[in-house]
Amino acid sequence: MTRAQLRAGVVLASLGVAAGCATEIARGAGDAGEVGAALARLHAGAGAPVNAAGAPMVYLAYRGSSGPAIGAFDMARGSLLWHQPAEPTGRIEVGRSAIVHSMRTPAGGTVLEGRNAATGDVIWRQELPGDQRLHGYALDGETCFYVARAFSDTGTHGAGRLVALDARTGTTRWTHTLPPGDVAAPAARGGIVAVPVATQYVILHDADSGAELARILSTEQAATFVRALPEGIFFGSKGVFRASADTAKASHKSDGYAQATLPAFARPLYAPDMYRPEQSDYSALDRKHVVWRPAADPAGRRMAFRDGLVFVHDFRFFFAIDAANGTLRWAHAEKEADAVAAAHTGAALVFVTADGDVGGLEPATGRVVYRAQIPDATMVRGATFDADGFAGSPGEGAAPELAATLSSILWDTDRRFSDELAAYTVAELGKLPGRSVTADLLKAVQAPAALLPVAARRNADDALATRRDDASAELFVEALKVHSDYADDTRPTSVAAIARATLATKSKPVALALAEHLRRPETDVDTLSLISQAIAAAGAVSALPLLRDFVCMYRGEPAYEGSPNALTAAATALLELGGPAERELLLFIAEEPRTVEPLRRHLKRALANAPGATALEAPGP
Amino acid sequence: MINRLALAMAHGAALVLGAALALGAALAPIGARAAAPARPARSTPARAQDPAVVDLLVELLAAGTSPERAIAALGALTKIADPRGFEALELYAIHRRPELRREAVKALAALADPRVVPPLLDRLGDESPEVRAAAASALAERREASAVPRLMRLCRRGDLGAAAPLGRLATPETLAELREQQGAIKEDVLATALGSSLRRSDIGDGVRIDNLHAIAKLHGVEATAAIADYLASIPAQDNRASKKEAQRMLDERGGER
Repeated sequence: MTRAQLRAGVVLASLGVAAGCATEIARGAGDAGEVGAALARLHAGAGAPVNAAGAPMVYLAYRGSSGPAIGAFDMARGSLLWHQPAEPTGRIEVGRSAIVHSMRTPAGGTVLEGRNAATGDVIWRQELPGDQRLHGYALDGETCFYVARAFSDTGTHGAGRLVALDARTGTTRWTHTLPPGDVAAPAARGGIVAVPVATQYVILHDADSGAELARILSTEQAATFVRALPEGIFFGSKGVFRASADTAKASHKSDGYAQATLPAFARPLYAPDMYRPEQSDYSALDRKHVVWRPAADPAGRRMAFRDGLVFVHDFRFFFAIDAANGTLRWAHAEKEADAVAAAHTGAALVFVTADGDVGGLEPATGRVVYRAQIPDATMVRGATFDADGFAGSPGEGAAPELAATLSSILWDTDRRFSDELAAYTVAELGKLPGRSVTADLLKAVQAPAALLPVAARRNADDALATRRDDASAELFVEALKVHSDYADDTRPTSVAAIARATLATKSKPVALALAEHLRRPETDVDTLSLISQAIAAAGAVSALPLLRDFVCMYRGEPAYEGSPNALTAAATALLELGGPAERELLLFIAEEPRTVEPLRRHLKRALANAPGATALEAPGP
Repeated sequence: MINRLALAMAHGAALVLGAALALGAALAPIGARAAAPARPARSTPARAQDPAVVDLLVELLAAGTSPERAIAALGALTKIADPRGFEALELYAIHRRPELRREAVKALAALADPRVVPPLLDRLGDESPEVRAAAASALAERREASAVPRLMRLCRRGDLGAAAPLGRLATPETLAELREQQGAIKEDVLATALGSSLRRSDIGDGVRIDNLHAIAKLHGVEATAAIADYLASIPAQDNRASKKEAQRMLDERGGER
């Protein structure tokens, strides 16, 4: 569609020929030239805290000993700069000399409250009219921008308004009427204010005047969020677009788009839905989302995640995931409390826990690079970081051992963790070598359903089959001592999986322990075959008596007429490992009329093809 | 060979004859192969000392045969009750077919050999209730006190087949523990276990009365039957206190009906 055609569409829309807000605001939407020109005005970010002091800060909403409070914690000094009684109903947004948050008035209305960033003192309040709903707010330098829209019992209606206030005084600088339709919270940085509208537009405004500069069109996926970062402006929902001329019409095929490959348990939540005012407050969404940071791109066109990683935050856990292929790089588990907020500073993954710990992790390794305790913060509800570039103390401390971390996650008794998370943890654990991992997997397969879901136990069983380390043999032997026992309510431990593992490891001690399960009535027929194959693979000649017993006892069993694999596998192993005595026995079995026919046929073929076949003769009739 | 087969038949192994012949065909010298006339099984007393029969049956089981013939062989070994059959019986006690396991357990139970205790204890954990019951009975018959903890666990799991054996083996302390299990153990199981203990001569009448009181708190026909069975087992001239208590309880239960 040409620009002229787009203009024509606007005319039609204004005449009421075309219906729907999407058409009505289509003027210039997706124009690469306009978008590129608008973004060219973007002042380059420094990748440093925006507060006037330039200190890495975290602003908190918490409950202290004297009730609800907000506070400012200086991460560099490790001290609480100030705290003030307050109970915000929206996130704390940070500007140069002021911070802003929303509050509920006693009458149920909404008020924006500006505070001195250095002291926490209230410096202005602006109450929204009762018929206006606040959709969100953002700060850039000394300006606070908010979006509101009229609403009534029948819902929101009319055009939304983008309003700019002096963040130091609360006085209105300008008001801009947004196009009709749904409006979302703004994001602001470097002289640009971006507002998602009608789910498929992101409108870029001049921060000084409110004038509309350009409209980004996102039809492939809703643009439910927009973030203004030092690296640029980003938007999206299922993934992340870097705003540029290339993504003026946002296409996931563009280099300006990235979507991480995430594990099944992870919610692909890259940012709160800014169309939903309730998500503009701290909530459970801040404890279960994806933390990301774009890689710097001097051309401002390509979108990629920094270090190729995204961080899945799931309550107390963080998983560093290779965005390209979903590979787990490292994991971190907080022992006591949920991380209620997390952010990527560009140099560290920082977080605050509900019990007032502030932590920092090295993005590439998960090494703890920062730790501090906020005094008197017994219950942190949410937090906002202004700590761009903060790196903590890189190089100090040891990188976490992934197996140990995953083990602690696996056996965590917090029941909020999803079955998918448990299954994922087991699967990832199973990829790691080591005796302790094998012990965890064996424990997992035996865990009651109340402790571990079926999918996790199945993954553990599958993982056991892939164990190749010799150090696990002893654990396997021990595990195989467990039999089915009705009185003791025990079940055997992953016999089939251990047999599959033994096919590769060829461990004789494990093969011998497996052989004992040939005798057990509870061993299923498929597993019987695997056991025999494992015995043969391991060359466990000590298991010959057990193989002999098995073949003899069941050679006349009618149940094996239809599916003789267990019998034929045992007979094959007997032939492979045995000597003349075993061959003589098999010759007898092959000729004996009570032997089930499939075994007889198998044995006749096998014996005929066996080395030294001519040396023995079948007994006479 | 002929003699061995004839001996086997005399000991109730008529059904294994065909298999034994086949076995002989495979294992014995050609000159020794001969068919013996088939004869019906006889219930003559076992001549356990005859080694040939046991050897034959053990060889048959060891070489493998059809389930029907294996059951017949195990039945024969039960009658013969020769300890030389132990290894084969131990093997068949964990056969994949529950009916073969049950017959092997019965045959083990017939052996006057202390080696049978571990496999019998093991079979208390069998998935098949019939096999567990056979093992439990065998252990109770042998007065094997080491079975009590496993029997108790089975009773807690509601295994009725373990109840009477537990009642027969339980020490006074275990009986006291059982009495406290009302609500934790199924009532029919508890009534059967406590009822079974009443007929024991090695417990005091006071314990019997305690057990009767515990049974009286249970509902269901098993509780009533336990009291009635106990009364029926007491000679007419015996006037022990528990007899009067049992009679009173039975009258009360009848009155309630």
